[in-house]
Amino acid sequence: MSNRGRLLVISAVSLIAVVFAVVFSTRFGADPRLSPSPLIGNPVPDVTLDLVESDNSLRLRELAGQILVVNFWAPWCVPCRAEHSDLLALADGFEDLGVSVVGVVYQSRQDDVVAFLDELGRGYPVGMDDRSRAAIGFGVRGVPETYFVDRDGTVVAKITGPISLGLATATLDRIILGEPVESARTGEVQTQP
Amino acid sequence: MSERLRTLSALIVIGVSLLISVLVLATDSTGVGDRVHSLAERLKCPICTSESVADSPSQVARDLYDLIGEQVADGWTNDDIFEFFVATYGEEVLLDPKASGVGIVLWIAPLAALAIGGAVIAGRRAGKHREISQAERSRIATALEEQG
Repeated sequence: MSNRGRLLVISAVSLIAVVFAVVFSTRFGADPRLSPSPLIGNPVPDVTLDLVESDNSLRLRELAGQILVVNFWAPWCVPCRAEHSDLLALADGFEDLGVSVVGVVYQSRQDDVVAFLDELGRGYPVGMDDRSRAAIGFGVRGVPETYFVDRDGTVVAKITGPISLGLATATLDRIILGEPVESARTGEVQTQP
Repeated sequence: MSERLRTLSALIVIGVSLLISVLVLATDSTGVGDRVHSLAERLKCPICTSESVADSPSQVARDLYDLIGEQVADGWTNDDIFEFFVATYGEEVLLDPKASGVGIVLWIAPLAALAIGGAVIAGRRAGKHREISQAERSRIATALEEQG
C-alpha cells in the first residue's frame, strides 16, 4: 500500500474512533440527574397517592382546574429539610389563588415521614408512593424534585433541587398570568438514604 | 491446505455462524421471565450512572423491574414498553441507541470500520499478487546482469 493510501486509512480509522468517543461520552457516564424532564408540555401522569395519616387517597387528575405543585421528597433527604418551610409558606400563601401543594414521599417508611412532619410541620396533603408508581410516572431521578402543573393539567416546569420561596412564587405568578415558565436546577438531589 | 481451501473453509464457518444467529433470533422462544429480564437489561436504571434496571440493586430499579413484568403480563409489546420509558425518562434510558439521530453513528461506525478493514486487506492481497510490468522486468534483468 502506498504511503498516501496508508495515511488515508489511518485518518479514516482515527476519525471513526473520535466520533465513537464523542458519541459514547455524551450517552454514557453523564450524571442522569441532570437530564431535563420529557414530561414538560405533557399531561400530568395519572397517579393516585395514599395520604399519610388518613384513610383517603388522592388522584392528581381529580385536581384538574387547580394549579398543582407536586413535590417529591423523603425524610432522609437533606435538601428536603431545607425547603420544607418554603413549601409550607407557598401552600399557605397561594391557597386562595387555586394552587394546591402536594407532597409525594419517595422511597421511605411512613413512620419516618410522620416523625419528619412532627418535627418540621404540616400544611398540605402528603401521600405515600406505592411501588414508586408516582416517581416512575413523573420520571423522578432523585429528591427533591418539584413539578408545576397548570390549570389545564399540563406539566409546565420542574425544579430540580430544593425550591426557594422566591423562585417558586415567581414560577406560580407566571403560571397564574398564563406566561411561559422555565425549569430550573437549584442544587443537588439525593437518590437514596 | 491450499489457500483456496482455507478461504472456502473460512467462508463456510462465517456462513454457518450467521445462519445459526438468524435462526436463533427468528425462533425467539424465551419465556415471560426471560423477556422481562431481557427488557430490563436494555433499560438504564434512571438513578444510576451506567447500570441497567436488571443489574442495579436499588429499590427504584426493583420497582421498575416489577412494572416491566406487569406491562409484559398486560400484553404490552417491547416497543410499547420502550416508548413508555422514553416518554418518562428520555432517550438516554435506552442502553441500545436508536438507529436515528446521533445514535445512528454507533450503528454505522462498526460497518464503516469493517469496510475499511476489508478494503485494506483486499488492497494488500492485490498488491501481493500484482503482475510486474514489462518495464519492471527490464529493470530487474538489467540489475541482475550488472551484478552477474
